Amino acid sequence: MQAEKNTVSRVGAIWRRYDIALVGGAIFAIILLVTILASAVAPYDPMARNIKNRFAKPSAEYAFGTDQLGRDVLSRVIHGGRPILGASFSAVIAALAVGTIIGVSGGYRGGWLDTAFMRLMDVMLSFPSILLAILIVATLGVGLLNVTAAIGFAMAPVFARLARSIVITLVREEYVVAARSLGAHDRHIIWRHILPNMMPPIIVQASAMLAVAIGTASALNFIGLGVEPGTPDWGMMVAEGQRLIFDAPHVPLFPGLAITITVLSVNYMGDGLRDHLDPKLRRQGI
Amino acid sequence: MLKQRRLCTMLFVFLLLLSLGTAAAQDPQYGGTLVFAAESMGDSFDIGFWHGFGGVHVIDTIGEGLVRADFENGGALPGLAESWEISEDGLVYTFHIRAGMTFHDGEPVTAAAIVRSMKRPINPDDPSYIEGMYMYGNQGTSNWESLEAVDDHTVALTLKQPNATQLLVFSRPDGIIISPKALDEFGTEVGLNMSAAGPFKIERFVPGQEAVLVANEDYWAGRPYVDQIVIRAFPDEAAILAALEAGEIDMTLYAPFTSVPRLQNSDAIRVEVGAPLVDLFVGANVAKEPFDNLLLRQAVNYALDRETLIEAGLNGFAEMPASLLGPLDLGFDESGREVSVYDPDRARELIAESGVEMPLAIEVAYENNRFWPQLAELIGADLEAVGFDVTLDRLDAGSFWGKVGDGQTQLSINQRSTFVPDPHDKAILMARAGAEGSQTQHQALAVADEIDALVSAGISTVDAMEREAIYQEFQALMLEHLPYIYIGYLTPPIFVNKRVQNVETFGTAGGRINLREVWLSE
Repeated sequence: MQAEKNTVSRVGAIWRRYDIALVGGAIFAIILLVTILASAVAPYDPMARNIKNRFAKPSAEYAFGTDQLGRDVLSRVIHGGRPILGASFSAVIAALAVGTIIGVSGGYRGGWLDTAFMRLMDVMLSFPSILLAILIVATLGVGLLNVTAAIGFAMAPVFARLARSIVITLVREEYVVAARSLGAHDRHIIWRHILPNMMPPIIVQASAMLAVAIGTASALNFIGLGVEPGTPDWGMMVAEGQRLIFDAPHVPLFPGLAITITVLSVNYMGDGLRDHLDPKLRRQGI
Repeated sequence: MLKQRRLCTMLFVFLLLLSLGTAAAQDPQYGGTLVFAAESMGDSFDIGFWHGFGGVHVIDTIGEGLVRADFENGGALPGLAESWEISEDGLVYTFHIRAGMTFHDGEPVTAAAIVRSMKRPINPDDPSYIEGMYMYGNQGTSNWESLEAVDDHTVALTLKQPNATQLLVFSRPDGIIISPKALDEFGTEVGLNMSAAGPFKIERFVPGQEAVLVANEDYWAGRPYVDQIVIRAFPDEAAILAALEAGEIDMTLYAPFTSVPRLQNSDAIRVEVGAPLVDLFVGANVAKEPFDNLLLRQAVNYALDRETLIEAGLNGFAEMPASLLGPLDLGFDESGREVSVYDPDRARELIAESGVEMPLAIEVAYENNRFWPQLAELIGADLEAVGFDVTLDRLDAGSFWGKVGDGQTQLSINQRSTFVPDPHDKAILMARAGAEGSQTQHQALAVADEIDALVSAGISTVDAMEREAIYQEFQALMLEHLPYIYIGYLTPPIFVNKRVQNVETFGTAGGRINLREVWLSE
């Protein structure tokens, strides 16, 4: 009885502390699930045109209405998360990996390598990330893979800077000094002592950057640098529908809402993760 | 009796008031500002270069050439020249210039000033000369034997060979006459300080944004009705539509076609439908694989479901196509409508006959604005339905025309506006590369020499009946070899605020707006 009470009160406490984060996480989980299972969940083929039924308003048959070519907007919104979320996740993972490698090697080794890496990162950070991404896609060519690479490239310095600052602190920690005095190899120290301890802030940063990546990928697809025209994709759908805003507002509205809700949910989820993983905040009970 | 007389008097007064009211409603009024929304605004109005349609609209509103084009009935109308004679052999043109005209800067419009302006592209000693002023190529300068001012009011032009379009090309934007004072004073920067002799003059120009034009009180045909015209560039169609509905703009060609059904029921906005002066077509690069293969070009022709393209891609604002020439062109051959048809089975047969294995990867290039993306998507789907693996190559306007001009495309979704009402204006696309106005690499066609000979004959033949026969033969050859696959003749909606009266829909439909006689009812 007492145990049950304890569980209930603990769940209540968690809910009170992380309510928005939990809601954000749940919404994002649903979005991810629907995106992954898009083919099974979508009521219609997102590419199927019905010219006679163009611009149908939202109804029982077409919950989000139909677009300029008579395609079901709901099915397109359901499928439309795939390119953006795929590109965003891949870009953040790539940026995290590359940035961490650069930051750790520079911060751990120090000297000219650190200076060279950090000056390079400074140069990259001096460009607004969206501008840098546009520049990279313009150089590499249009396509979702290049959009992913461009976002990843533009975000890598953020992770590199963060990783370096953590490593510089960690190498002075007693357990690292002790390991080194016991003759442990650098690789062992980095893998066993530094990386595990730097993960919480890196994960928090990754969640924040995921929201930025979703926004950037949407923007790049909106301006036509990502997916091919006609592909169900939130950014592309908003771009195709923007001139219909006064005549068939449902066409750009729903993909626009999908981007907004996704970015918001990831941000809330990221805030919760930060609160949970940041020892200072946790100690303060914030 | 008295009652009857009173009744008659009242009826008479009522009818008089009614007729006065009707007359007042129909009589043109002076005054007001008309705002025209353009899709772009260049950084200069130098007529030697292309500055987008926004620039053309300004040039057409401030400028005047020797003649003006009659888009409705064909032929030329008097401009700075009040009359002209052409010698029987078609070689000597004598223009009689109106007396008493002045340029916007107050300089008199004389024969010498006209000759000076017309010789600008061929006189490297002129202070305003700029190397490579390609737009002047449309004026036919390489065929000029001599051009001189006979006296203050007479200009004589002698050609090397007859040119059936010579008169009409003077009505082009690149045919407007510029003040000699402006040419001297501003030199190569004259495009930023244009002084012409048209119905409006530039009061203010913000490059890339807008041009404010005011009525020219001294215009030869009398002051235009409207006091001021603002031609303003908008970033996209949605912004234009919002401004139109908010009453911030009075007229545009560039609002979304999809809005027409709603706007037709609007209290404030009227939609007029333009004449079919713009050709829409898929250009095949015949100098490059795979569309050097006629069977594949024919397959593309039969793969296009034009009814759907027009209905869904253009919201119904186009007529079914026949050939490169349009229904209003001299020599138009309607029988082409039997070739430009949808028959996907025939397309598949032609692909099989070609021996090319499907799916064949191809690229379709198009401009990323207005209705082009929607059209491209539908065309891509039609081509995929017969076996092609289509990649849509979405480009900004500059990159698109650069790629088409450099022969780097496979298929391009293209258009040809009518800048002068003459079939040569379209046929010139097929002129041998390097010829004035030629934009394509069609010399790779098996019948390039025959087509080139017909294009040349079309321009050098003065007799209208003979020209008609030449252009019919030209169209037949084009349909047989299909360097272009036709989509339709655009009949663009012209969006106007209901207070705008007397809109000319012919030239406007082809991109040549004419605001000389427009007036505002409020």
